[in-house]
Amino acid sequence: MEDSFILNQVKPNPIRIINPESVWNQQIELECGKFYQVISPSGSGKSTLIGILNGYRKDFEGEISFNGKPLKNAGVDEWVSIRNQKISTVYQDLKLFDELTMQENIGILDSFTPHKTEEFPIGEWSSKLKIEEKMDTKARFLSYGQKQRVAIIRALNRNFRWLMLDEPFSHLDSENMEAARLLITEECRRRNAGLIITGLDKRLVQNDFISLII
Amino acid sequence: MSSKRILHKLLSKTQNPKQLIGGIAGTFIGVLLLSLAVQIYFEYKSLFKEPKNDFGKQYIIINKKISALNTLSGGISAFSADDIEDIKKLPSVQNVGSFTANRFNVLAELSMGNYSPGIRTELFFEAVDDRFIDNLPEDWGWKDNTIKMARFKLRLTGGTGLKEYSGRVVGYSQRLNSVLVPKNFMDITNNALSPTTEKEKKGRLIVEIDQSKSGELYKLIKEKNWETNESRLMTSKFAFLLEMILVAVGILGIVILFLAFFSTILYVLLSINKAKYEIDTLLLLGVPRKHIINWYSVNIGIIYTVIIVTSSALVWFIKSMVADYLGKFGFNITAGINPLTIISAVAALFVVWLIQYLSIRKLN
Repeated sequence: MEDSFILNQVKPNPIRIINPESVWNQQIELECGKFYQVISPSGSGKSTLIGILNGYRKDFEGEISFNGKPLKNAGVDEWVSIRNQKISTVYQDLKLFDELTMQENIGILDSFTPHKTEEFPIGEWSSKLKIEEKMDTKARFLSYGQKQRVAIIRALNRNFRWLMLDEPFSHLDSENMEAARLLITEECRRRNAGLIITGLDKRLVQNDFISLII
Repeated sequence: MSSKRILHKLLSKTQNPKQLIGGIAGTFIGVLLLSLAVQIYFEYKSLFKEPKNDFGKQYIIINKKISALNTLSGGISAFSADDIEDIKKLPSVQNVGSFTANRFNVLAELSMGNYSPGIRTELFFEAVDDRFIDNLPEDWGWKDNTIKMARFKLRLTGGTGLKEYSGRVVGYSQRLNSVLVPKNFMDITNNALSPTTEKEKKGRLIVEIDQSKSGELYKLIKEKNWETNESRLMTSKFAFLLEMILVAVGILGIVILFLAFFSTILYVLLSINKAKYEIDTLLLLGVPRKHIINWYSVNIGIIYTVIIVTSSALVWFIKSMVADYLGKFGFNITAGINPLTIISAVAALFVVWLIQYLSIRKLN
């Protein structure tokens, strides 16, 4: 299926104890347009999976393909191009630039690609996540929870076929978490994009999401 | 915000320009030495230009030996018509010319400026047919009373009067080691200042021969007990030495440039390493790698361009100082830098830049 991932016998290397029901070591398709959740304790390999799907973790065995194309031996430029056009990710460590303001962080792609931030409702998203007054604040002066919301808005501020979020709500209160989750699912539904969210906590489990065991 | 500005904001905080000074200074010194060597080489080549279309030809200057015996007998140090005929008979000889000497006194004065007494010397002139001159300068010639870029004064006195001229050096000959003046100047001045009905004495001859068959002429020279111009050998030895020195300076420049290249590339790779978080993050966000590679390469390129401009300006400055100084002594050095000097500097730095670009390009 278009823009779907296929994991074929993928398992982290060095091999750890593998749950037979997990995504590891079997043939699995992640379909674009479907919502997935990976809820498991820390250290169980959630970030490894996100890393493999984003092409920056190479310490695994097996085959991965995207949109029918095998990517095991893809180079940096090929992965950068896939990330540029198809995948938007909120990494667990957020990967914001401390020296840039919230606005500059959100609009970072404008400087390097034809992307235009003004075509996206940044103001609306910021007010939904209650962070609109921080636009001109450098990221280093934001709290971790605020940074998480900036990273979410930055991830939404682009075209993508997949949105991946690695423990995106870890520092949000339940009100902000609900607002963020609503915004994320709305946007993915609207764009018919796939969604993968990881989390630690059983209370994050969504009934309409496909659960991936790890 | 432009990509350059944002990269500058993200990447330049990991830079420490102090660490780059060594690399820049080394590159500058290397390029300067290389440029100077190339420039001096071409300068020297244009002063002692080898004649064109002259392969296989050799010019030999012959004198009669001066000894107590022939001095006493008087006048015998000149070549007779028979002597010249003997030379012309040799099949290898293509042309024979004779030098005309001055029959008047020459006093040359070189002014050294207001605070210096200047130099005054007696000179001897010689003249020879233009076809024997290896490096005929464009402005070779004379006009009565013409003062053109005068460098020294000539006071010529003979039995029938005095003439004053201004003169300058227009070129140097590797073949003819005497103070040459145009032949028609010599003839006219000789007749004006010291008319004579005697036949002209031919004290020195210049012989154009086929180089491969020069042995016959040397045999004749030995038989007749004449002398040849061994001094030319000295000129070639000096030329060889100068060339060796220039090659050594040029190689030294390239070696320094090469060492500076390592210093610069280590600095760049260190900066890239220090900016690993920023670069990795940009790549994870889907920013094409070429933006980052270009940022580093363009910045090195700007530094190198500044180095080429300043070192060329310095070479130009040094050259005009030297030209001014030597000009006072009648040396005529053309202004400006040889384009090949700049081209060689650009080529050397382009190679260095390309290697650096290729190693930066591997970043991931």
